[in-house]
Amino acid sequence: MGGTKGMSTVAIIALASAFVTHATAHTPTASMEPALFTTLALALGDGAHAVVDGHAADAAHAAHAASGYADVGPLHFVKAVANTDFAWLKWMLLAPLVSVVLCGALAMFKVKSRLPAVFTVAAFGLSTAMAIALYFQFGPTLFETHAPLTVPFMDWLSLSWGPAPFQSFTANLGFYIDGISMLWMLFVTVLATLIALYASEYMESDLKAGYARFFFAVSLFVASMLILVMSDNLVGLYLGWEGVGLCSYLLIGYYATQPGATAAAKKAFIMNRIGDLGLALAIFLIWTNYGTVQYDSLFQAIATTGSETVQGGWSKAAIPFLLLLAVCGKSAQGPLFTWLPDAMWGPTPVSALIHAATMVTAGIYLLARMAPFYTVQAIGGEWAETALLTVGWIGCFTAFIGATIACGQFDYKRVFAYSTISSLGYMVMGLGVGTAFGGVYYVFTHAWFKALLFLTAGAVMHGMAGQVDFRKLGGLLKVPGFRLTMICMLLGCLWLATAPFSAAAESKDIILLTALTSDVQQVRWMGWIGVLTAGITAYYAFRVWFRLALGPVKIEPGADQHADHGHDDHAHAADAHSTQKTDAASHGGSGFHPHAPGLRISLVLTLLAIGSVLAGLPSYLEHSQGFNWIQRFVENSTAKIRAGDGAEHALILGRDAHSTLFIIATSVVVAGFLLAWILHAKNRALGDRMRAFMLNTTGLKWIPLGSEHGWYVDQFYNAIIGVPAWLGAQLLAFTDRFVIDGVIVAAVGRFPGFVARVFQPLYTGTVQSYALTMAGGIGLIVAWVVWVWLSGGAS
Amino acid sequence: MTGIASMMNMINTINSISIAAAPAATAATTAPMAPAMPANIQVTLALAIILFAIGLVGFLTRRNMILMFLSTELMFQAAALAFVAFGRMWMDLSGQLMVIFILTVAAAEAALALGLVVLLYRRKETLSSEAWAELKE
Amino acid sequence: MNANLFYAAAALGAVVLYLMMEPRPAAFRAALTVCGLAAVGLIITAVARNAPVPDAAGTDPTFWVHVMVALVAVAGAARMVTHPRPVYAALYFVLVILAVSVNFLLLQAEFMAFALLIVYAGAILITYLFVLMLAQQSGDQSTRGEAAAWYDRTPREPIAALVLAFIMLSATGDALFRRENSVPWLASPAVVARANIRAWERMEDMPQLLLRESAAIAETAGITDIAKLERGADGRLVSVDPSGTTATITLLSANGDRHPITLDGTAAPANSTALGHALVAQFPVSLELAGVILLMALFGAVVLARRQMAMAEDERRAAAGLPRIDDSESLSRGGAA
Repeated sequence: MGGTKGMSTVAIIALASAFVTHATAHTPTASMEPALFTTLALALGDGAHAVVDGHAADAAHAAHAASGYADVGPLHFVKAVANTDFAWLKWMLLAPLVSVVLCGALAMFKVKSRLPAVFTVAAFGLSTAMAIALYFQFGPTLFETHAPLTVPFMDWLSLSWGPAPFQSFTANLGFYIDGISMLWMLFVTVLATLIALYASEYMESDLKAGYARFFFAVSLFVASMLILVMSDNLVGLYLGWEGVGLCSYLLIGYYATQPGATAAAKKAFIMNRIGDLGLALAIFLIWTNYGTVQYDSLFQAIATTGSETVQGGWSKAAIPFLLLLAVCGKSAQGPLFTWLPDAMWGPTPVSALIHAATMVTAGIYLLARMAPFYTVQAIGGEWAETALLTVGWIGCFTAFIGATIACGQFDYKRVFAYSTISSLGYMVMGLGVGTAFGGVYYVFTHAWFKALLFLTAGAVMHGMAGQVDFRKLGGLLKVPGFRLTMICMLLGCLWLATAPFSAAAESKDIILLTALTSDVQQVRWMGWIGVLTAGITAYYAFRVWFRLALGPVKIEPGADQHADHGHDDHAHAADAHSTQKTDAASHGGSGFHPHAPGLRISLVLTLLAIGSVLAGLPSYLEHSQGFNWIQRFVENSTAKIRAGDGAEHALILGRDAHSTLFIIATSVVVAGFLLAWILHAKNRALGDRMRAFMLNTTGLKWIPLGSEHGWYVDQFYNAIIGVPAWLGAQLLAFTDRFVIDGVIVAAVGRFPGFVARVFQPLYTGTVQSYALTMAGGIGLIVAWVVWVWLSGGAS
Repeated sequence: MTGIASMMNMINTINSISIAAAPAATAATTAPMAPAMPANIQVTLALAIILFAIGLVGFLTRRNMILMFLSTELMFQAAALAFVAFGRMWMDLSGQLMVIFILTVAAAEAALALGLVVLLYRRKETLSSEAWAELKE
Repeated sequence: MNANLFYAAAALGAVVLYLMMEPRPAAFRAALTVCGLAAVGLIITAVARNAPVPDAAGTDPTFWVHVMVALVAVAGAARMVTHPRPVYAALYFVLVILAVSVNFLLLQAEFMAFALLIVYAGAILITYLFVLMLAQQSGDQSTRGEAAAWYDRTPREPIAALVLAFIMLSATGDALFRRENSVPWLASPAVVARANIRAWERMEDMPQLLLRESAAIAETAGITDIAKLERGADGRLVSVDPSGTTATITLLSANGDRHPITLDGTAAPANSTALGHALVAQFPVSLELAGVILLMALFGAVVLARRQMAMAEDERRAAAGLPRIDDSESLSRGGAA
């Protein structure tokens, strides 16, 4: 800790000096209050605005730059090269599918064994090996020729009703390998393998119950994700998109006997469906406008129509917005983020899988893949910029909201869940402010440290009988067996807080740098809010860690220890361990023995920690050799039009952008860190008093309460959607019961009954009376026919 | 018995007149189908409608289930007579063929109806059709 | 036809039928019989006077046979629907059958006449009688010690039924006989010729019969070495005279001589032969359907008979004082009634 403290002191000094210099040199009138974090950042925003305006003397140039925010110049995409030498890639997809079949069979026949985990880990490992092999075989070619690779796999949809364009529809299952799909394949498979390995130990308590079912869904999840990133057309992407949605539903609702889990699963599914609607409509419109959904021909079509007058009107302009809706659903952005915290109902490895590697990054993948649609060249000037700004604002807003909510949570898993929302907001903002590189890079680094954080959280929860409230735990650093976990969590928190020189900081800084050096004022605002969010992030990340790791040892085991008091053990609470439960039950609460993570969990945590550190390597390489590994991926993909990291020689606050941003970001992070240190490590009483004070003060009460309750977004949705829907349902039920059933059906039904009652005396029940009636009718008819009809009415 | 025999003799005589033309008849050779006799057909049709009316009366007035069915057989006879009479009028065999089918239906009906009647009788020990008035609610 | 006479006779018949429904003294019965026969006779007279050949009733000796047969049939039918004893009613129905079959004979439907006798009088009516006797024997409470059951003695709504029957009879009689000009009671020469030609064509399908008949004729002419029939230029054995009265066939001798033979109606196939031919040639599907109906009736009768056995078993149990096996509620209700 000494090192951290020293470093923060240095940073504070540097920050203060930078502000003082800045204030005296450029904005003498601005009031600087370094102590008050919020005011500071806002003031800096004003200052930056003034500086850029002043610096860019040429007003016309500024105007052009502002309008050209979404103008990336002529589009050009290298045509893909089909190569059947890579036909073995299909096994990358088929391996998890084989695992799906095997695990499904085992689940069907209720086999109680560890085989599902073996199958899953083996399949994922095979996929990983193939992803790495692909990188080494195809990577150099890609980076040299910039030509993506297409590999046909199997025919799927191929319709044609005429020779002309727009008269055929092709969506075969094939693979399209370029930079970003290769990057996604790499980290998805590697992280999935590690998480599956972790889960093989973590889920052992469910060996008698849902073990095979769990791995069935996990395998299907990863297979869907691979279809999503590998497919060479939008329909295949949609297939994978729906697949991960379905699997998230299955996995979040894994503990299906708990109402909360099923509700959370439904919530996730429905929220995702809203986004899926956007994606489906976007695909329809893309076909309508370009006549193809294959990536290769689609981007060629965009490029050829690019510089010409953009046709299509609204149907083209709607595409980026619909895609954004899809991203909001899948990546938990903006209005649709509330499903992600509830996804914590699933087993913790699922949370790691959803939050780190697979599901939520699909949205970022879609945005990066479809980046050409956010350009003037593709959809026209008046809407491209709006679309891009909308993306940026949604990301920025989500990042900020997620961070503020995370500050008020006491469930450390939920803190990490909101941190995921916040981080995803950063990524979306990165794409919105014009740096696909920054966004994708942050996806990559985030995947590692967020997986690490969730798995450490899962390890703690696993060991503490499902205790998720960090106020009831403490000093875990001193508890034997948890030291490694806590150190790994510290690393994760540092990375989450974007500590200087960490991989996360390197990637997040690219986003902030691009935003802050933009010509567009709104984008600079996003950048400043991002800086502020970084400070908040540092605060809540360390709030968790300080509470968990430092201080006196305090262990209040979770509810799972009572699980064997008449409850079905696997169905009771999320993360229980049967041996732990019997321990806890026999010793009572005071005799609780934490259950330290085993070999496999520790191994996975160590590997993830190493991976998190190494995830920053591309930037370290860039610093030393001017070459960024991730950027090379992005530049060789359809996101390349936004692959840059801002103006190379731009200024922030009138100074060199890189160093200034480093100082600002570092100081903000350190400030957040120090605040957490004071309130949650050094003097916890102060922190508690402060919270109590805010709760007791009328004007400030909304801050802790709102933060704790997620700014009441769920309640708001319930009020504007749930309550009207409920009222509508009541109305319909009333209508059904009293109008349709009561008036229409009963009236229609009783009318014949009434008529029957009138004529009832005619029906004596004997056959002959009926026969008499019948014969009488016939006789009358015959008489009429003969005497009236046949004789012409005159007999 | 002598009455019936004399009647048959008479019929033979009649047939020899109308159908089997005497070989001795040289000028007028006999055709395969002898022309119909107008008055006979009318008498037969009158008999048919009278029998039908009586059968209807029987069906409606008899309370005995077996006799009700017997009355329907009477109406069958009326129909069969009408068929044969009209077939004779048009000198076509279809009328007689229809009677074969009527016989078929009547036989089938008799088999089933009588079986049902016996079942019903076993239930209530009476043949009165009015014992079965459960259809009245 | 005199419509009013027809209606009056029908009304008289209805009244007679009504009066027959109750047991009457012998003199009254005789009067009723006279009246009823008179009514029927009036109807028949009214109808027969309406013939296109006015004197047919006078010249055709079969006319009176017809009238007698009709009177017997109507008398039997009336007695059948009014007799209080079911067995007698069934026997009267046999009388009706006999009369009808005689009528069939008169209409040259010989096969149908005897088929009716065999099937109806011989089979169906016997079945009815069996069932009737079965029901009578098994101790109907209401018949014990009396002539007949109450439900056989008391007609049900006779007035309504008779009014209805009167309407039906009047209407159908009116429809059949009143509009005399539209109904050609006498077949036209064209119809007769067509029917004759059809009859000869039917013989095409029966070469053996044709050979036999023609050989017999040839034999009377002294030709004995008949080998076979020769087909004409149109591929047919029979060349029919346009009027349809006669037909010519050619016989081939063993030595190749040709002998044209002219056949007349005496060579035509008998009614049963013609009917059998028509049945399989004209109505094969109906024939099959009739077979299916009979088969189904057989199945149905078997099923019903099995149910009867089950019931009998049940009744044995009840008689032995044991609880009934099934349907106890319905059975007990039936017993109480």
